Amino acid sequence: MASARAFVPKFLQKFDSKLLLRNPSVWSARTHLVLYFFLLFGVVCSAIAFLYFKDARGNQNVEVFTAFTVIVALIAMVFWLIFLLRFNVFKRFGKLSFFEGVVIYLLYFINTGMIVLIPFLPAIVQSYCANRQFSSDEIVKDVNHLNVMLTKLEFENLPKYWDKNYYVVTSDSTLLNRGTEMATIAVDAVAEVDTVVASNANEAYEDSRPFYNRNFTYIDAGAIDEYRMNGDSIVQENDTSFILFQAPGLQFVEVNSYSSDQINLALFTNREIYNVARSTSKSNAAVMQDSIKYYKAKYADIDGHYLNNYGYYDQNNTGYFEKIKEKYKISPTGGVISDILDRKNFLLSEVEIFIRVWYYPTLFLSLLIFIFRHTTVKTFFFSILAAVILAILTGLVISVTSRMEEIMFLNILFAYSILFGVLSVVGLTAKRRLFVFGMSIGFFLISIPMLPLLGRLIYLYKRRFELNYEGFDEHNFTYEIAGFVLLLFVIQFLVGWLYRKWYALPQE
Amino acid sequence: MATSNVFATIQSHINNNDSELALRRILDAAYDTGNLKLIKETTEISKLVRPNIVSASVMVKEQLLQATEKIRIENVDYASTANSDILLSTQNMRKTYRTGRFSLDALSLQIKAGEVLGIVGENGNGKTTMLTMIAGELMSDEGSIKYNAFPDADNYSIKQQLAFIPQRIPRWYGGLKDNLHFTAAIAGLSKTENEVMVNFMLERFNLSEYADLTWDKISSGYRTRFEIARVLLQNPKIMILDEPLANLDIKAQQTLLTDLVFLAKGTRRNMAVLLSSQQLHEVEKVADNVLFLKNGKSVMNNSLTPSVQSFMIEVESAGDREQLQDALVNEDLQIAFNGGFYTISSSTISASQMLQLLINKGWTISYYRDITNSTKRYFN
Repeated sequence: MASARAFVPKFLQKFDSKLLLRNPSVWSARTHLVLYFFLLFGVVCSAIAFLYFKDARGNQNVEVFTAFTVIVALIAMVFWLIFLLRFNVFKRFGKLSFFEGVVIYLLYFINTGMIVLIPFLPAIVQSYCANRQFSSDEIVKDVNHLNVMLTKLEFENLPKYWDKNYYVVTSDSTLLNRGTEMATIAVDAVAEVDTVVASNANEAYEDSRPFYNRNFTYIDAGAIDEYRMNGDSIVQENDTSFILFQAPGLQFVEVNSYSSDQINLALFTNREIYNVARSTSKSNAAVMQDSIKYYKAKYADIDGHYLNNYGYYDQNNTGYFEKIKEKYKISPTGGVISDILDRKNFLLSEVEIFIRVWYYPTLFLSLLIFIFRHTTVKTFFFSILAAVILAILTGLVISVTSRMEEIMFLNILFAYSILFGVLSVVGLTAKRRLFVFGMSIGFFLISIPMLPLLGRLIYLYKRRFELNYEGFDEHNFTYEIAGFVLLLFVIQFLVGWLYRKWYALPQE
Repeated sequence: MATSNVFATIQSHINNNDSELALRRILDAAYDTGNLKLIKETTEISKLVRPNIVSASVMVKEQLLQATEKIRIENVDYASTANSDILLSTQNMRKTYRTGRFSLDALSLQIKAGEVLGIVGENGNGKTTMLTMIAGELMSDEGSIKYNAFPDADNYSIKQQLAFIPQRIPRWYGGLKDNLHFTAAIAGLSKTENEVMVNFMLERFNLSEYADLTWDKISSGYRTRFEIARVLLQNPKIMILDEPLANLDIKAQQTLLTDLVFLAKGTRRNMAVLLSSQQLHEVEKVADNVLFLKNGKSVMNNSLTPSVQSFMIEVESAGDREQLQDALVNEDLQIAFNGGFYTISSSTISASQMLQLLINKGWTISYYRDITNSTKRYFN
């Protein structure tokens, strides 16, 4: 029976003792204890966070929570390592099962993953609470409704003429590099009006004289097509001359957040707000005022965070936009909605980023632990020193090379991987335990999960002109997963065996 | 050691009130059978008897006799499976360190199952170098080491079955018992077998009351005991111990050495034991062979049968050197003094005759030892 542990329930102590007698490798990884304490802390931390983040409209300091959980995670990591390093089946030359290497690595990965996940818990709970309280569609609908109502109520006070910029289309690269310049341009008698904004183009386009002294910018045909797609209004004067109009700012409820593309696309643009406000019937002003009050209450600044910080309004130096916002005291509503969207996004659009931010530290920490557990202390710390020196030398080589290209860096990384792989296998012929071979196994192992992605990037880079850089960011996730699978495969069938051969050799 | 001898020895210990010794031999006999049920029962008896062992009461004697009888009865087919195969041999094994300050000269030896090989010599003469090379921890420059006990095994497998206890025992962490369970588990002892064998080892090496203690809380002597218990759980074929007596008191040294002999010479579970030590007399008492190393060279490498050409004794007396020389002036004797003892040698006068001579001359002798066949003579 293993020694009793503090804060561990009896059932787990029993399980711990059974595991020690039946499967010492799994027992020594302490996954059962890490899982227990992770769940225990996770429940407590989540419960506190849930109470704190319950109302997504509040002023929430997730950073303080996260800083606290980072400290907890560091302590957890230290404790786990202390317990982990006590017992090592491999270094005690114990009997190893067929799947020993891969099982042990996976347990290290799971344990590290749980510990690395701890600092994310407050943000996850916060995001969950925000998503639970408000749906994305609901917010988008409310913001659009508010902006349209405010536009309708203040339609008479909006600017009549839209800001405009002049562009001349050219394919001459020297002209394209000139930027903006002044010139007199002849304009055809009849201007062609973009059909998208036909309804308001006439009132926006007041400069229909044949000659102008203008500040204009040369752009290429591709860019003007993009403006056609995304611009608020565009007028083509002749074959090459265009005027781009920008609708006045009508997003009075400003959503300044790293919102997901889905939300950003669903929110009305200035032009859309203008068009909707203009094309729909004007409702009763009093009804709209009540409706605005309702939305303001719905997204109320409950902690007074935005109200207290509402000192930036300058009566003497404001346009229609600021005046309208001030009139309806709508700024805090925008601030609160922005906060809610930011909180929601952590579990929506940022999931992929979050997974990577969690995955890579977990991967490299678990690999370092795995390597440390299969090598000598001297070899491990020499490896770290060698890695630093190698990185500096590689940087120097790349910087002094006349044709410095990304491909060179990628090729060097690939070459290192191959080199260390070959050295690891060559080490099998050694009669004594040379630390250079131990280091090679470690470096080779670290490079394995990167190989599929590295290979793909080299392939894409070589075909970059042919592919026009398309698809560079696609499918990376698949290659990263493939890297992890390859890592498990290599640990199972090569690295575990290499370490066994190398570590058991006599010293010099 | 023949089975009948084992029981006779136990009986003798019980009759002479050497209960502690009898208990250890009973435990060894049970261990040697490999019968898990018997080992478990004997462990329980030991737990019961040990608190009253010093008193050697009638009840203790009865319990010990019952335990002995149990082993005897339940092992009617207790046939010896011990062998004396060569487990390990070295051929011209050499080592020179890079600094060039020390070289271990060509060394060839063989060790058989059930054999105890003592390696003696002064500090810095190559004992540890030799043992670490045999243990596969250090590479030899020349020569070969053949592990006959593990044919076709790779280095990892060899180290699984070869137990090496270095002079400075590596620090371990966690509870003592957890460490034993862990060692047993990685050696393939699972569930009940693990539990029984760990309890047995704790009892065998009198560690039961320290089972939950950690490294910091036990003395260096107990650490040595623990280490031996730990490696025995691996059921090794070869056990190598570097200076195991260094941290032990005189009684513990005696106990450990006799224990090692019994463990090595089990009728079923026999193994080879290589141990280095400075305690020449203690080692010589138990070793089948002694290897004496001086300046990296093997000075003596044979069995402890008398083959020397001169007799030698070691004496301690209150008299001074001049008086001794005057008293023995007409005799065929050479006298040396190392600051503590007089070493007297002769090619014609035997050790007992030398002692008689000294007594006849009226010398008061406080210490005497015949070192004719001892490696001690090479220390001078």
